Amino acid sequence: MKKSILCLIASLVLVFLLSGICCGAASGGVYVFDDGEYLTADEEARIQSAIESVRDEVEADFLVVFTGHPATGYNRADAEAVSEAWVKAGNGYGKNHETILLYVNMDPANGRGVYIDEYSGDGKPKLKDSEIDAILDGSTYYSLADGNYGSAALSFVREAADYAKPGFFQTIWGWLVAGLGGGGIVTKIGIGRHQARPAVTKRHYLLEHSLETVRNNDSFAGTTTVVRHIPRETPPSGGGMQSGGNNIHSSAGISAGHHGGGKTF
Amino acid sequence: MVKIYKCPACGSELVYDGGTDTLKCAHCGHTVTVSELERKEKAGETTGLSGQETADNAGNGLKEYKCPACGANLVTDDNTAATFCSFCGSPALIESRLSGEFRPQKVIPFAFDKKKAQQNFREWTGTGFLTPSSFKSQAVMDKVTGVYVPYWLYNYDMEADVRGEAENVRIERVGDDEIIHTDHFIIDRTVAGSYRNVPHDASEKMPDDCMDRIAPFDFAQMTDFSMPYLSGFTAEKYNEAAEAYELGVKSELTQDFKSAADGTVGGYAGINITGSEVQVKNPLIEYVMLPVWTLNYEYGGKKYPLYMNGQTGTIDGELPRGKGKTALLFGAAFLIFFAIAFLLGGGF
Repeated sequence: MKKSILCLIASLVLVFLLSGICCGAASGGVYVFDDGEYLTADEEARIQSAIESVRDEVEADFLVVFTGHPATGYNRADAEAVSEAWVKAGNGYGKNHETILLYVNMDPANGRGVYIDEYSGDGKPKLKDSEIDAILDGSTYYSLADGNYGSAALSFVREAADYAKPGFFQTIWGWLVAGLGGGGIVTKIGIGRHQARPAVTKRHYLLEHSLETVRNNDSFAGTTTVVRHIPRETPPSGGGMQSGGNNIHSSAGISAGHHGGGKTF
Repeated sequence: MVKIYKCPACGSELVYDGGTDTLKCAHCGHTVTVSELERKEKAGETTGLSGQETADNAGNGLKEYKCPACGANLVTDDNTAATFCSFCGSPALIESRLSGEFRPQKVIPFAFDKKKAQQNFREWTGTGFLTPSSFKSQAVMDKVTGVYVPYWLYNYDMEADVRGEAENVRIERVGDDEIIHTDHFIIDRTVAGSYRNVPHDASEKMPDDCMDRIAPFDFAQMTDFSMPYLSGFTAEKYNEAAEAYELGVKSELTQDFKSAADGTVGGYAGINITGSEVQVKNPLIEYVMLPVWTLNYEYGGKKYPLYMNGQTGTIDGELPRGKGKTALLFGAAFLIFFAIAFLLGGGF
């Protein structure tokens, strides 16, 4: 039963996406898919523009999918199926078909949920578990919960791009700086091995047993007294445990090139 | 008089053998103790070759003497007291330079010979992997020279009157009250101490900072001065009087003694020294000769003088750095750090 539902989901999504892709790919890449009009046209355009502005810097395709299909969930298998379909259609950035997907299922019958999935063909994801968790715990999630779906998608693109773009030491400039800096330090240490010795201090020439007190008129001059009143502290009453809110999310490990996490909202 | 000590067995030159209190013949190995030579000299016996000083003025502050061994001209400056004949290599001692007020009172003889000094230099350069290989060559090591450097040794007794305030604190708790008792004391004491054998080199040629850094010498090994100790080494008489350095030395010792005297006040929770007046007493200045091995190396148009304490082996100086070795070190370190950053950054 579960297997047939999954097949249904996969085929529905494939048809849905391929139809979008046939239109979108030919027109230069459509990265926003909304089958339930959860996003306005303006929001879709802004999200599309945001993705186009970051994909080259991050070297990944960002995909935003809002769907209200019943019998689909927000879980990992569904999100991965969407990513797989995207990649199989020849999409994804570069030879590794790098894709970062925000998959939102709005169907209340199955519990509204969001899943972030990253596909990397070389098995080297750009987002860590903790970074995916941070996105799911941040403004993306809160915007979804408040019904601001456009804001949620834009937050996702911005935060994921920030995490995924290569750090300075992941570029050739960073490696050159590391090489030059490390080489400079090692050479400086090698050069500095012959620092001048410190001179012997004059104290060295003070005869060891010659220092003595020949006259001692130290005297007691009196006592001053200060009284301070310090009331004793009373222990606080009751316990101090606070209960936190629920925050259910899970991060999946790397699975055949996939890596992600999700939660309900 | 110019003097060369000769071996009684074979007539070759005698040179002082470091650390043994004897002079040794390099040709036949015969040894004569310093005290034996002194006894013979006092008794008027012949101990070597002597020559009258011609002391002709060679111009530019240089003087000429006749080498008693080969008759060649020995040209020295005004301060040289022991040198080598540049023709026959004989160690020549110019006794008149170290007579009267210029005769040292004490000397610390060299504790080890030239071979050991060369070995010490080689080992020291071993810790500098950027040192050019040519530095350790025999040609460079042959330039190691033993020099007796003239020094002034300053001796003073000091007394400091220390004044100040101190306090101790006792705290007790009675009910909700904290009672703090502060006991106040007046510090009024006199502290005495003695500085002995504070050295300062008395030669303009020797850099004072390097001479400070190869210290200390063990003055317990110091002995009465005698000319035979100088045979086989170069030596100079002082050319800066003791008074030239005395003010500076006294000032440094006064500051140090103030600190030492203030440090005797203890056993209090809080101390405030308001004044320490130091009196310097019983000055005694001695003129001595101390042993130093020197090595002057030139590399890349720059001179690298090195100095070694001839008693303890302590070395001071800047080692030359080979450009090729430095570039190689930088290149290797660059590649290693580049590779580490590349691997940690995930590569291309």
